Amino acid sequence: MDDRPSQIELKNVSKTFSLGTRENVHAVRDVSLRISRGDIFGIIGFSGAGKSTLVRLINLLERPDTGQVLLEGHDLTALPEKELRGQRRGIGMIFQQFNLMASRTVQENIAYPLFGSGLSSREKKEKVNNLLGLVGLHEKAAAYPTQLSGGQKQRVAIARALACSPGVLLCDEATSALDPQTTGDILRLLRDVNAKLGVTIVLITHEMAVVKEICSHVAVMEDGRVVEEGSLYDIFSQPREAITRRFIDVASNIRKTEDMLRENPENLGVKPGDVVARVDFKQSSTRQAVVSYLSRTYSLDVNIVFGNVEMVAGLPLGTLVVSFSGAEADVKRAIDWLAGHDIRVEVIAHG
Amino acid sequence: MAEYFAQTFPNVVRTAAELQRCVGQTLWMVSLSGLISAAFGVLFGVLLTVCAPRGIRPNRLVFQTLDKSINLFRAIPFIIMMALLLPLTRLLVGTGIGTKGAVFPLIIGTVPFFSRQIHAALCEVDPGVVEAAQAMGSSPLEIVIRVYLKEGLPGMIRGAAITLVNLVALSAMAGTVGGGGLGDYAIRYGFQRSQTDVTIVTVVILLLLVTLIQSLGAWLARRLNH
Repeated sequence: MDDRPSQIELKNVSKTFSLGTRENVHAVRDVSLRISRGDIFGIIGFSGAGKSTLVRLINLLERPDTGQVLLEGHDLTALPEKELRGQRRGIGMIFQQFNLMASRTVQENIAYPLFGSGLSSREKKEKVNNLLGLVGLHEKAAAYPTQLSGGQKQRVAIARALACSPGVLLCDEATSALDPQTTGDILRLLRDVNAKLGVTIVLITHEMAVVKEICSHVAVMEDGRVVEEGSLYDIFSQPREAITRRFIDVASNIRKTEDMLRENPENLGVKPGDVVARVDFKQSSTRQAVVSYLSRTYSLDVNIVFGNVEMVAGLPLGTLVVSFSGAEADVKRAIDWLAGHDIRVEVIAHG
Repeated sequence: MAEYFAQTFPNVVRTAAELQRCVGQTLWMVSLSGLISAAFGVLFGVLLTVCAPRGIRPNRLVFQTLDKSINLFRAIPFIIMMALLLPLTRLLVGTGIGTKGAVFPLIIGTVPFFSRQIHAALCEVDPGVVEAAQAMGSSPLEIVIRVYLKEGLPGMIRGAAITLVNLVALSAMAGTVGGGGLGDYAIRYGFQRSQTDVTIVTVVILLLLVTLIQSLGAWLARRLNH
């Protein structure tokens, strides 16, 4: 791992909820994570994976049954209630349902956490004004939340979460209630906040597209555990766990292609005897003329069934589904050649 | 017009001074017991919300005690409660009859209902907003004052209007056992002396009072709801 000081550290935290008398839900099981200052750290998982509980363990909205939560090296779980409340001012949080106060205007909502901060009313006003500018909502200062669109509500929530100048911003499915266009706007705003203010962002989501858009690091959760963790590019280029691959595939169209290959391969131009393989390229190999090289060297017909090249963390990452027609031995040699060049190959169907 | 009134409601016109006094008594009983009940109702409603199993400060003992006592007191018919409370009323205010003697039982009869109304209004406050306040480092007291009581205000006002209307009805009932007020007036003249015009006028005045309370409550709640 990298050696920057970690801003948030979870040490073997677990949380179990009891439902009724005998039934227990192990929401988080023995999770350890280090999140570095300035990261945009994504935690992805299907619903019920425990990610909502995990994010609430960071500001102790949920107390872990076991384990420690460290914020800049200080153990939050050891703090008395009052000091914990002080620490929480240093951790902003936004929610899927925005959670704005309906009885307060936009500027009153943003000013809410400034109560008892020791700022004069002039200073508070100035702070609120600056935050309104940051999220681009000056003209809505006197509006009530019901008069705002979803995206505007989330902007207000972000301004409110940043009012106490926190070092960390927790985002609990912050874009899940928004349309794709607005999701993009909010993610850009979060990236701005991260870049301009240096706020560490922890973002939980079930959408890989969100992670791909802004995260620098990713942790994948399944059944209360973090099953895989790493930098965005590493996770995308070398996923180890099946669940990670599923999330990545959902973000591209490859699933549909695989379904079609199973149902009617002839529609994709796959002939009997062909070998269909999925080929994943990384940054070093995306620029090579792989297909024509294989075709020439091993006298094969290489037919591209599906292709996708995208930028992840600013680096190219490609996926091809190709069908090889030719002698069985040649196909095997071609596949071996690919595997020998740091290209991931997986035979997914036979024509 | 005055002549028509004198012809249709002869007994009312004859007892006009008494009627005026009784309206005053009703307003006094309802306002005083209403104000005191509101204070306790808000206190108990907040405690029920805060100490509930999923509240911001769960407390089984406080919650269960309050919850069960409220049910108990709501189960006792008001007329019986007044009789049961008589010794205590005498001890507290020196008399068990008249308007003065009616206020204490009215409070005891109203607080449990009011507490439930306040509790119901506070339950309507979005738990997500409460969670957001906790995440922002608000203390439980701050959450009660700055979130629950502020966000729940429109609902609390609607509940207060319902409670007040209920209180008007109870105050009329208190009148039947010598509590004074409009109920007393209607019983003494309208019922016992079969002066139907008195009963009708009393009902109309109570109807106006109820309508006024209800529309005032609705208007205020609407104004506060953004």
